[in-house]
Amino acid sequence: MLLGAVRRWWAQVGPYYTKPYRDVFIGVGIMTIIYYKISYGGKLKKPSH
Amino acid sequence: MTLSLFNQFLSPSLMWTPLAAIALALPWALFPRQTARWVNNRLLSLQSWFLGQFTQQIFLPINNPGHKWALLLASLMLFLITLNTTGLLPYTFTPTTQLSMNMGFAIPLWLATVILGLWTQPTQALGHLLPEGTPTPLIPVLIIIETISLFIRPIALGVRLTANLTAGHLLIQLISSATSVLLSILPAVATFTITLLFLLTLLEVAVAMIQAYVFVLLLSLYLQENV
Repeated sequence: MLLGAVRRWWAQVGPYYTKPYRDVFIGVGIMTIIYYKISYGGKLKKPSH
Repeated sequence: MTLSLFNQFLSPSLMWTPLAAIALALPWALFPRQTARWVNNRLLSLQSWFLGQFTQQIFLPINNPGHKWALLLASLMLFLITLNTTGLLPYTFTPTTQLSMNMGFAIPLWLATVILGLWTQPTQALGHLLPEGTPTPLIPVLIIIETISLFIRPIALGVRLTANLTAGHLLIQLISSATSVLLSILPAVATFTITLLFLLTLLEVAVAMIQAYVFVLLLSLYLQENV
């Protein structure tokens, strides 16, 4: 049932995510890196006390 | 616990679980999906009419290849307008007051339009850096200025939305706390502040909707330049 739901969802949005929105994902990756650099000071792992 | 004026903007969490996810999922829950019926109920008809009108209006000046972005921009508009207007209710959290979220929308979408322009039509995209009819001595300066303005765009997009909403919420909080303090001391002045609060709330409803529209409109303009 879950797999069917995922398949139906991908059938609807797949053509968008694979072709026109590829450029958006580059920006999403850049934003993720910037966000982690700012909130965690460049370290991806939080230092344990 | 000392409270400041900015405590209303803290991202809510319950026992270290972020509740902002619920605030972000609310717009999805508020808009029902299209049914298989030919004629839907009033709410659904109104919703699809609004979305159709909005999408047609926004995409009128954009070329055919840009129409692939219709889904993205229409859903972004609906998302932002719902988040902004529901954030005006008391004790709600407005995710669009967080700069991180607005930059998370602005930078990828702006960068996507720039990459699209540089990939499909590089000459035209770079040609936007020099307006037509520029006097020759001004050309180097103008190219630098246009490049700076190009890179300022995502920052302006994100900060505009954040600042407008944050300022509005802050003003509402300030004036309403002034009103509640003044009601016991100087009721006559409190009537003035209540009127001001009422007008300000009306303004904030308008600002909430306009800012969402402006965000999406500017993105559609950037898309129009590059597609």
